[in-house]
Amino acid sequence: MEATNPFREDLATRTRPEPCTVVIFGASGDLTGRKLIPALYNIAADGELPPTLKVVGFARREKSHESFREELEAMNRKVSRSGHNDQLWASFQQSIFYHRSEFEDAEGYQSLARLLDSLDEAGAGGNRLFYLSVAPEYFPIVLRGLAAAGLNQPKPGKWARAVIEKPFGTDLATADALNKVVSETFKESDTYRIDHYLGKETAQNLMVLRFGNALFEPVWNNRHIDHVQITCAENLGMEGGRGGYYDKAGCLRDMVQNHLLQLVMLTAMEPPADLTADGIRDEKVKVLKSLRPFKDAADVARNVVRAQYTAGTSGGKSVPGYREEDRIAPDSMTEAYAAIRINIDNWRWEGVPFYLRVGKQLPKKATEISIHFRKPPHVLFNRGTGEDSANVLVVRIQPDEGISLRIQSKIPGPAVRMERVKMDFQYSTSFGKASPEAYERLLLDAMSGDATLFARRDEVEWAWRYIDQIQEAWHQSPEPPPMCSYPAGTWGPAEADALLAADGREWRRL
Amino acid sequence: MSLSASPDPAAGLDLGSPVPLAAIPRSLKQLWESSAAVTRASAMNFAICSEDGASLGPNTDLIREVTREHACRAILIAITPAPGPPEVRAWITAHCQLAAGGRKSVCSEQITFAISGSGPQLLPNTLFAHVDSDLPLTLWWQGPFSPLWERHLFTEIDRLVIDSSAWQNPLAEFTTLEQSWHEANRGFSVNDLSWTRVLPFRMAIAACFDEPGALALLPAISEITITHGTGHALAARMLAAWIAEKAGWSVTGGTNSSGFTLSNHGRTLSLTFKDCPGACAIARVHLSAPGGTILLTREPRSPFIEGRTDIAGQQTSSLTPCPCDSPADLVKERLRRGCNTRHYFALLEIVRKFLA
Repeated sequence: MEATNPFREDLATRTRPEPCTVVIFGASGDLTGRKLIPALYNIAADGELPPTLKVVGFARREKSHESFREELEAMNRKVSRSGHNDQLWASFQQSIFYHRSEFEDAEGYQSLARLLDSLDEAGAGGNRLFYLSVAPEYFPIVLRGLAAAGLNQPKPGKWARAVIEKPFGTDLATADALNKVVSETFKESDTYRIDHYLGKETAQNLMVLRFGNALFEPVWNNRHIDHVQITCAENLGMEGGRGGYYDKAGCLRDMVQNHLLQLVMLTAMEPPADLTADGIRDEKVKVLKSLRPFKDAADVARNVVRAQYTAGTSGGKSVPGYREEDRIAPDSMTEAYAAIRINIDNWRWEGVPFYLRVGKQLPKKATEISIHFRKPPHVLFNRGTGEDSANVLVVRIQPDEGISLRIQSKIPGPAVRMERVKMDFQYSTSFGKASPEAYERLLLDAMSGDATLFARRDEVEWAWRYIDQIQEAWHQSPEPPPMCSYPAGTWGPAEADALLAADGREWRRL
Repeated sequence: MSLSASPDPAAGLDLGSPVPLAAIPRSLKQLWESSAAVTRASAMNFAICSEDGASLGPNTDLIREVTREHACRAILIAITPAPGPPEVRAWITAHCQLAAGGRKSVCSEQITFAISGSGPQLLPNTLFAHVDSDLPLTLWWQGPFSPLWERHLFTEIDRLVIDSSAWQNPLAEFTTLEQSWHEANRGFSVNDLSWTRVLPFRMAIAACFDEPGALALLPAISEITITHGTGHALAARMLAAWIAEKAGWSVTGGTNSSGFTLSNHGRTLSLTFKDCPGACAIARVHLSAPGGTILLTREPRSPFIEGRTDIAGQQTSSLTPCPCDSPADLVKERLRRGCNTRHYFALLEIVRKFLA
């Protein structure tokens, strides 16, 4: 058994990341400079990075170690959460290396293996974290390249892990095919499918809110909750050339299959038996298995609304409609907005719909979960008021991370008049310091071997199974549900409002 | 002795608006209602008690800094025990910071008391009458324990902050502290800023021993030298106690007040403390063994501890952040972390051997 460091015993507030080499495939991409390297730098600034950690950027462009470091330094100066310290960067950058290769070039992986061996000899420790920040079509190529060079096999007593960025497939068949490639190269326990929403502080706080407070869990069920709304609104369109990717994906694949269903799972899951990665993920998967399937295309049409925005106004400026955007086909049938009524067929949630909405060019950027409790009986103070007197618990994921509770309060005065008021908790004001970036937490976890905040294979596949029903109804059915529209800068199509109105409900005004 | 007979602890200070004691809650309410552009924030009560009349100014500066990270209701108390009836003066003010993104001003409130005279439970009454209910109470007791440190006070607090480096007679103070902790049924945690000064070096040492080569060297270490700044001998001894406890070494004797011998399962190690005027609280830790050395150094005002290990000819270097120098930095760091008080008292048993 490997000796443990006795000096760590009372210092660790979390599992310590192990010394390793992080290999980033697609290192010349935006994610590396904007997120991954600043995340590692900030972990170093917090004193949490193993001193012998190495980073190798693997990409096609011709660069030297020095020019790669210079590019990363320039970006880190701009975006680092904790600022940029020259002395720390000078130390940190010594651990950064660049390896040029085509993803398809087998020799590139062989030479990578030699580089990693030489870094191990220089003290890197022998553990390897392969981070695939590449377009999805390159996932199998890179994974097979690693396997052919033997890099997927850890050295004795060491580990080799793969971190895979979304999108993990485009449907169940492709996800399944990709999972097969992954399972041929890495064990499931060494595979980390990243969903950066799970690295956000409020998403992590959902479990603490539910299971760390005696107040909420007893009422977290269909006896007390009327419905749940999950909104992910963006106030941008297809700026910056993102239309090329987006028009192939659509918001259902881009946001719902991963981020929003993760939030559904965290909201709806049963208490796990323990806080191990699989203990939590087992409960999450049960939620996905309980999602009521759609019967046919007509059932999809009854429960799902898709839409594109038309020309409108956003931020005081005129903006084009979706089909007029850069890199979007003029006859595109890709949804830029979706609203879904989800039914969860289990004891806890029977009869409690979860309404999801996600879209581009909405009035504001906001992601939140709102739990709408049942209305109090129409007696005493509530007799005949006609007002919405239900309590609403809102968990804000971004921005202004926090939790608020809407309650009824008496308006001061001789008459008994009530008004809705908000009890508000905000991370920024209660805790003062900024939360770490999601990628900091996720990279730390991957280096520490904690997969709790990463999606497991069955999670991904069950999520696709649900999404595929909608995609098939939209794109393969003889009578597809209509593509609705809404003016950019508004809160979505009238059909989405009608979806809730049919149940006697309405969307929460954010 | 009345307040007017002593130097006025509030003279020349901007402590905010003077308010009658009975009007503090109403005045605070008015303070927040007077500006819609600010948000009041509070995650705890943070009280500082001092018997130094000149403490209000530096402590107000400290609170201004601490509230950047730890929103709180701050309660500053400067108390001058004296015969005669008590006289209490109070001020309220707010410390505002721009929240992330600069969208709004987030403010913490400060209530300041200048107390003279004496009376039963004068201090606990003044403090507990003004804490924000339901929020934890952290009390920084500045200076040595005095008769004012009494049961009604320490049985009601959640966290105690002290700075043992300021004590003239730490052995006696530690005894009082431990007795109080037991009398309070271990109801408060002890947060010693002297122990916090040691934290970055503990992290740097732990980081060095993450490396398997260094870990293999640990049983062979034969010499330890800890260099500390003047006034921080206690911090150096705390660090040594921690190293010894973690490595499983026991203190076997002392050659003088700065030289000790330790036993590692029968093998003898030498431990030397060096006082270096002008150096950081902990400036240098040198561990040496026949097979290599581990050297950690911190230059004055450097935000990092530089680590160098030389084991069997293989050299590695590291940087460990060291953000704690000022009292405000130390308090912020301490409030950020929990404290294992049982472990702290266990270490004091070893520290006592270095002080005896």
